[in-house]
Amino acid sequence: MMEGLGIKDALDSITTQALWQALILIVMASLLTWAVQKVFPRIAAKLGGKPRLYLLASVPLLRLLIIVITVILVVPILVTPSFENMVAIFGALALVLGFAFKEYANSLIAGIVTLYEMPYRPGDWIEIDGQYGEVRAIDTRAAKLLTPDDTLIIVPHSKLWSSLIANGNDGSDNLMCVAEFHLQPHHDMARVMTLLRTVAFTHPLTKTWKPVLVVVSNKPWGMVYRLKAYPIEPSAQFRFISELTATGAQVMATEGVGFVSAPVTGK
Amino acid sequence: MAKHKPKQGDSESEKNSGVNNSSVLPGGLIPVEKWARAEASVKRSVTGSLTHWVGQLKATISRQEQAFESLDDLPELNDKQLHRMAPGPDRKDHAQAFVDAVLVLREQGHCRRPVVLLVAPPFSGVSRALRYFPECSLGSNTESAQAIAPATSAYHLILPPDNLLMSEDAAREWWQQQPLDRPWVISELAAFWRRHGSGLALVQELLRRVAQNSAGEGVIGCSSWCWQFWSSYYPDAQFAPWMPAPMTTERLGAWLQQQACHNHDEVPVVRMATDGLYVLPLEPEETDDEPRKKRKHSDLLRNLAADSRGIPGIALSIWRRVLRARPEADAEDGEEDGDEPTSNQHPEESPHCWVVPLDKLSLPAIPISSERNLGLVLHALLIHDGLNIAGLKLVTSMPEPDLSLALARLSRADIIGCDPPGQDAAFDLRRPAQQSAAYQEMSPDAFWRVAPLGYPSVRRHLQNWGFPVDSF
Repeated sequence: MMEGLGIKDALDSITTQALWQALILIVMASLLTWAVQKVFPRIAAKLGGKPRLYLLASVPLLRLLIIVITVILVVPILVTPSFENMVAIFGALALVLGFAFKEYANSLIAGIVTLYEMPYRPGDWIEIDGQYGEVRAIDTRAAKLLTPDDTLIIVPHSKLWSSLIANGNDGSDNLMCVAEFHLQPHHDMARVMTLLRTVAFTHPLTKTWKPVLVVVSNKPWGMVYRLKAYPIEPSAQFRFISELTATGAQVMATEGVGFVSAPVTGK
Repeated sequence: MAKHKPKQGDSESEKNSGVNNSSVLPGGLIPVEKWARAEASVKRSVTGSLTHWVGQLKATISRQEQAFESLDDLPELNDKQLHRMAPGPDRKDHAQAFVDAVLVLREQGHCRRPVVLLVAPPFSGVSRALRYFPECSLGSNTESAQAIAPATSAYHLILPPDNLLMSEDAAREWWQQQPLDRPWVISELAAFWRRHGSGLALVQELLRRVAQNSAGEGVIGCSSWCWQFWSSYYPDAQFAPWMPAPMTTERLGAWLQQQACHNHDEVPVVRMATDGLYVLPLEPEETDDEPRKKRKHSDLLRNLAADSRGIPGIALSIWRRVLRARPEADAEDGEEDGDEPTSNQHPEESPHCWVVPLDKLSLPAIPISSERNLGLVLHALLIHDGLNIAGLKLVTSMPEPDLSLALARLSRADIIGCDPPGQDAAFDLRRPAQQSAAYQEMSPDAFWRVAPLGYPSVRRHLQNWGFPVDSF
């Protein structure tokens, strides 16, 4: 089979010296990739805001660039870059990947598509298959998702083909948060909406230049108010929602508007 | 090296503003939509950005809290010399310029509303000037105003109540008790509210009355940070605010020159300490009769206008920091007899002074912190135009120990300072040492404000951290 594909001829020219050269290049590229993956996120953590997001997003792109340059440099060292040799090498590679590492190759290709289409970037808050968290890294095969409970989830890029991905901030530092209030009916709705809006505006973490909205819907058990606002940075979302809820509850108590509770049965 | 030559006057922009333009208030008042930031030279912009990012990264490596530092060896001017070279505008003249500018706005029909809203970035001097409105006379300078009304004391200064937390009914009652039937002035709207559920009522009621034209005739001064909040809170309200024109290179040069002339008969000569290029006097306007003196000018004023974001108080603070005496002569003479920097001047020349390039000046930098507390404190100080510890605790919801730690860090870095009531750190001469002395007391009533030299860095960091910032 090797002879049929012409791989034997292509590999005949490989010398020990060429192997060493290729190995050194690969090691150097690996070290560079490792350095980029370690140093950039650390610097980004110190910066905050948009520069942080840009720096984080540049990590997978730089890694791809390093890989492509390494391949371009290594292949001519190992084989004579003729048309026949290239067809032979890449044909064999495709065959191996197609049969033996189908899923792996699928994820690798999806990883490249991810870098181009950018459905998520490092620093984004996404939900995929019911798991919500911050994208901490985009590796070659999978993305690393850190949940609010400090659990690291490895999400293969191949999920891109089949799963719905909800991205909360989509590369920016604007992430809308929603605090819900389930209130008893028969109250002054306009007043409650105004009070809840003020709760958001007076919170020190609110981005006041972004919209602050209060929407209300009628449910069988009462009125559901959803207070929507943007915190100054996505990572503040949990504290933000908690404090909006707490302050809102305090204001509602002062106004004499009660919360509804689901009936709880038990022994 | 190409040098930007500032000339006296700024005829093009002054024509466009179409309002009063005095030497104390160069450019007069403009609608906020016409504000444009002065641009620095390309070299200064690039080095400024690089310095900012490198500074941030350096600070993460070594956690030094470095306050203001001068990177040159030349002696600074003493207080007396500074008072003569860069005294800051006279309070009454400044206030009168605003009174006249408001009058001109009304006369020329640019502002038909009974209440004029003046929005200005911190350290613009608007609040300081409006406090003196009651001492100014209506129509001292404008002819038509003199025809309308004789020079009389016209404005009543409305001060905020001690307790700003009140209900809507209480706020309505409070405003009913104010003498809104005669011209009134509010020097700083930021002093009338707290960012708290119960702290909005006074401003809500006032703005409601202003929108309905039922507040009488008045002038409201408002910090641009405070206005950012209220314009977001009432996105559909049309208050058509005005603001002082930003200090362009030309206006800034003329303004600084006019101040330096205030205590001299002649225009002082100010030159770069490094290459001898002229900063002041400005390039005189060409006339057919007089041949112009050929002088090479530095681009310091251009960069100063950009670094200060066109805000006069900040420009003045930086200007005071770059002024230098000549080392050999002035240092000794100044110490001995407190003489102004004229000892090294040639007998036939004007008073002489030197300036160091702006890149030799390290302005206060924000201490690095992984917590949001510093940002919360700084933002609260800016939107309220200064607060005491109780006020900060109320609006930031921070526990007092955390608050005290944040204040101490910011104060040590010269980012914030304590101001006695009525003092404006940007215009009134005061040394950081004196501010630190005020901090030492750390009394609960101490009124904390962002320092003018720290403001550019504070604004930049708050923007990076995602806080709402003003538009100027």
